[in-house]
Amino acid sequence: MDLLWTISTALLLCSLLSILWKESDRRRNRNCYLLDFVCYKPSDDRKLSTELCSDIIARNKRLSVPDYKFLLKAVVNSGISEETYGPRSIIEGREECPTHDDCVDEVDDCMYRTLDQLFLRTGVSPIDVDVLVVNVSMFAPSPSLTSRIVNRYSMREDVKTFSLAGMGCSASPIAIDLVNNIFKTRKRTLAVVVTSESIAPNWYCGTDKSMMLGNCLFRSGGCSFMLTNDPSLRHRAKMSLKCLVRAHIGADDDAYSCAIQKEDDEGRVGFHLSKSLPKAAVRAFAENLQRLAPKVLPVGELALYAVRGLRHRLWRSKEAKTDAATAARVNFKSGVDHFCLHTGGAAVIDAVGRALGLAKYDVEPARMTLHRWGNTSASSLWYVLGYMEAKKRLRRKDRVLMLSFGAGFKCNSCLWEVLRDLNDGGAWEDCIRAYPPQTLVNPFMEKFRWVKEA
Amino acid sequence: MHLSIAGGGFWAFKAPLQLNYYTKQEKLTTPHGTKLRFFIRLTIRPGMGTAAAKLNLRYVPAEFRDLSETGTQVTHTGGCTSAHPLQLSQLPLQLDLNSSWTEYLMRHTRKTVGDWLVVIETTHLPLASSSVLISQTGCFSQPNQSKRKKKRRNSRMAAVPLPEFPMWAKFGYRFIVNNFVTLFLVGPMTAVGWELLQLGPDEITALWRSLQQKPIESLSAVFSVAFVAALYFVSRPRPVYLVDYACFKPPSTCRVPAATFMEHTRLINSDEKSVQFQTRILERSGLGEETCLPPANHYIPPNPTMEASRAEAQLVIFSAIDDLMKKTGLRPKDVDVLVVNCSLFSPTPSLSAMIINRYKLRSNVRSFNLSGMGCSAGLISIDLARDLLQVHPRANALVVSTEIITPNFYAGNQRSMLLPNCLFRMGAAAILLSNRRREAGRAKYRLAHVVRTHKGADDRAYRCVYEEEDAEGHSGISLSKDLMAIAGEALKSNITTMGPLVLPMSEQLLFALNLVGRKLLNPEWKPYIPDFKQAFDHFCIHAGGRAVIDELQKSLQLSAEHVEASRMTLHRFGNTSSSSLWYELNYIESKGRMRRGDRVWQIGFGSGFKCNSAVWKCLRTIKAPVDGPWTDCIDRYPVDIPEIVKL
Repeated sequence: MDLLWTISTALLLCSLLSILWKESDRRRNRNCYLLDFVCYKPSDDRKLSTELCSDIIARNKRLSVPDYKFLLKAVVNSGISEETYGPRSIIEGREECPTHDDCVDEVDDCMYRTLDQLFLRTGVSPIDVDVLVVNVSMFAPSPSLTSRIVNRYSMREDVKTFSLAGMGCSASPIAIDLVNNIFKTRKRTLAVVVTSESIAPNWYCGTDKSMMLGNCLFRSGGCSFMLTNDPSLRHRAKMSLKCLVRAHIGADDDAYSCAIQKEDDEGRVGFHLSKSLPKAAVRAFAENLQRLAPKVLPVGELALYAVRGLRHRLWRSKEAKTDAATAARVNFKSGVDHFCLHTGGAAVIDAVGRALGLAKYDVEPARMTLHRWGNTSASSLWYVLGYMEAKKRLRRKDRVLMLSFGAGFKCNSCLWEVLRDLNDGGAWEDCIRAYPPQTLVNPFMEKFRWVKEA
Repeated sequence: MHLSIAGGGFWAFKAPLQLNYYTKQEKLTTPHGTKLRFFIRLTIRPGMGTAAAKLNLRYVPAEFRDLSETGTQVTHTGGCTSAHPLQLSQLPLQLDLNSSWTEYLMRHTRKTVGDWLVVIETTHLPLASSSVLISQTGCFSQPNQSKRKKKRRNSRMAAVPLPEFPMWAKFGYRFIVNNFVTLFLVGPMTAVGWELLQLGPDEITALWRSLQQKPIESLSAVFSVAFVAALYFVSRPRPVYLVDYACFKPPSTCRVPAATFMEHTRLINSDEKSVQFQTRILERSGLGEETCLPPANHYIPPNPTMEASRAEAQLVIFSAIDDLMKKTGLRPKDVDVLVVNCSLFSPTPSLSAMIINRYKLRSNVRSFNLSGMGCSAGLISIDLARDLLQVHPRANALVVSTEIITPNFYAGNQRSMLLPNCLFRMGAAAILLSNRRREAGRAKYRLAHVVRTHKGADDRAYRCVYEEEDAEGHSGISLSKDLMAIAGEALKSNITTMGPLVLPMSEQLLFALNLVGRKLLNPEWKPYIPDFKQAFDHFCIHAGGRAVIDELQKSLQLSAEHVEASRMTLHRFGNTSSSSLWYELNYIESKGRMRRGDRVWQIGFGSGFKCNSAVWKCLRTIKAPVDGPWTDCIDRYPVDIPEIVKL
């Protein structure tokens, strides 16, 4: 019987130890670290200056004076400068019928340049990459862009590739979500994500105003970043992922069709941005914040919110308030230090800033990114992050919230914790000193006042 | 001639020296006009002295015996100190390498001789022994001629066949090896049983009393055994069940009989040669008279607008999902994960958003839309859904695999790009995966393995299915002639990973013995091809085209019945891209061949070049009249498909 006793104790001990071991292992491997990110900086000859923009507009013979007036108003209010980049095919005058090679070249340049630099900077060999995700929303050649990368960098045969398309401007957190889920099933995994947007095949040459708006905002840009869950690389990591929330309100018809790629009356494909977009954005935003707030805010703030909500319900305040307004009463600054907002446009940034109760200082990175790079779609978050890093704002233990909106309609957010003081210049290296500039006004109004007066 | 770099790794790694490298591949035309750029960065911790790196690129000829016979083509070297980290490029230096290293590298990169061998060596001078070697070998550097020669030599080498054993010996061997553990345990178990039977009633009561005297010990023993068993069951990876799936059945109004197809082609295309070419392809394609093309392609000429493409997507996807919901009783609110794959049509908002919009899915659904991933994307979606189901407990995943044909009509005259017009037809499948334990009762299959192989590192494989524009600016998918050979190679890589997971012990042992025998005894033995029929009962091979199926049947040594599902799917539905695997599975079910415990192997091929395969285990016998796309025509199948159907 002593033997029985010993055996049962040993078994119990062993199983307890294995539980402990598994749990600690799970905890160690659960994290998702951002090793490095590289934002794409196209060559200077791709800058869209005021003259070039006016040339492009003049080339389109379908436009009339009212269209010019609309475009001028849109560009002046857009908040983008002369420094933004466009694809080469548009600069060379082939926006009407870009070839397949044009589109591929644009994405190639972005992917290869950023990845070259990423591999050099992190010192990781492409052979060690386990997961590769590319998200380019509006261009999906076959073989996919992931295969292009696998081919160029000669990656392993068992690399897991995912090419996400059509997921809109908020695809970056979706890619992170995908990688994060794979991290939970595999230990010591290294993932590379490329996030970009292809402008060349999506330039709209028609006269539908809701589609011309896209031309004024969307610009070339991209970013590659490397994620890992290997605890031994923690000391080299820049940030670690704390939480990620995805909200998709596509079930609502208005929200689904407020940003959609379709044909205009004359059969030209364009990206239609409807008037109901702000409403959809607010709804998606509120949906997201509702789930995000309990995860990021300190308990005190949450208790305060609960008390306020209760009071609100008890007194039945007469004024009907939207969800966003209720959410706004929460002080997000108590749980988050920096805000990376999607640079959808000047109005979007301001609206989100107001809804979150942010100061001018907090929305400055997003405004400056819009000014310098334009709306680079999914990659814009990383330019904003790059700005903060270049400005040496990101200190150890700071918490950074990324918030993005995209067609679908989606609002995705993720919270990062900075692991060490960051002060890399990145893509902003040569121009960070000039920011923030005295004025964000672009010279369009000055040069084309005659259009307004015509 | 293209050369690509694949494989490689680190060896002999010493702590203070860190070697980082990556390759940047340029187009290589000839061995002499080689442009290969290597970036090597050496980083040394402060105070650790100096380090040096050498880069060596060699051509190892096919008759390779000893490395000393080969000439060095390019050698670069450089060094660095801890104060100045260095980026190395173009500095010449000699390097001698002993042959044992090379053999080691050859073995570990699984590359044959006749390839490029790139060796990077770094030495850390204060520690002379510490060195890092990285080898990268390129494949397919041989021009076609010598490849053929090599093949001929191989066939001559294969003169020594494997010994043939009688049937009873094979069965006996399999029985013994595969049930080794059971047979091994039979002896001791019978002995124990015999002992227990011989116990008298007194001895049993004595044993019982002795247990009663120590209740705590015996209880804790029982408890701990139960605890450990429970722990084992809980900590197992969550099984992923395929509850059910549904395939889209195209309406008969979309039917494209060969005569219609050719007539339309003649009206659209004025070039007589390409019409003739398409006739020839269609005659030999193995496609029947009932395949369907979307409405937009019935126009003359086709009108591939975005609206028409969306309409097709809505038709095929929603029909399939509706059918699935009817079959499984799935409510839209219960979908937690949504994965959609469609290679050539990616609108914004994505197809996944379209589904969310139509079925009003929850706002926290995890949706992913995969594009451009070719015909093998169906299994990539399954792989992704499996990963997500491993992380999220009690979740349902809806996977939709389809290909939208409308926007991809090729209007030009280049032959390689006309092929897809003849082969691709409309189709879609919706699959419900779940990891809820209670679904285990009604689920059809359990996912056993998914293995993904990506041969994109090899230029030839990468280019064999390629979207491009012809001289006139018409965009289309070009299919290369090498496709069959490349599919075979991709399958081989896939099998290398899949084999050890699924093959029974008897086959693995034979394979290992054959390998050892070839290395040690007689290198001219024929390599043993494991019998995959031992591991699987049904095969679903992607119905990419007749030649692909033929090639696979040959290389896997399958019988006509094993590939029947693929051939018949190609005949009835055409190449429906990623969804074809599900039409095939449905064929097997409709024929009443799927029994409980059967294992199914799905193999998909696609652009990239990718070969993905999945293994499913059947959980319940599926009775014959199955509701699905084959309902009204299963009795007519299998049909005889002649080599050429004269049009």
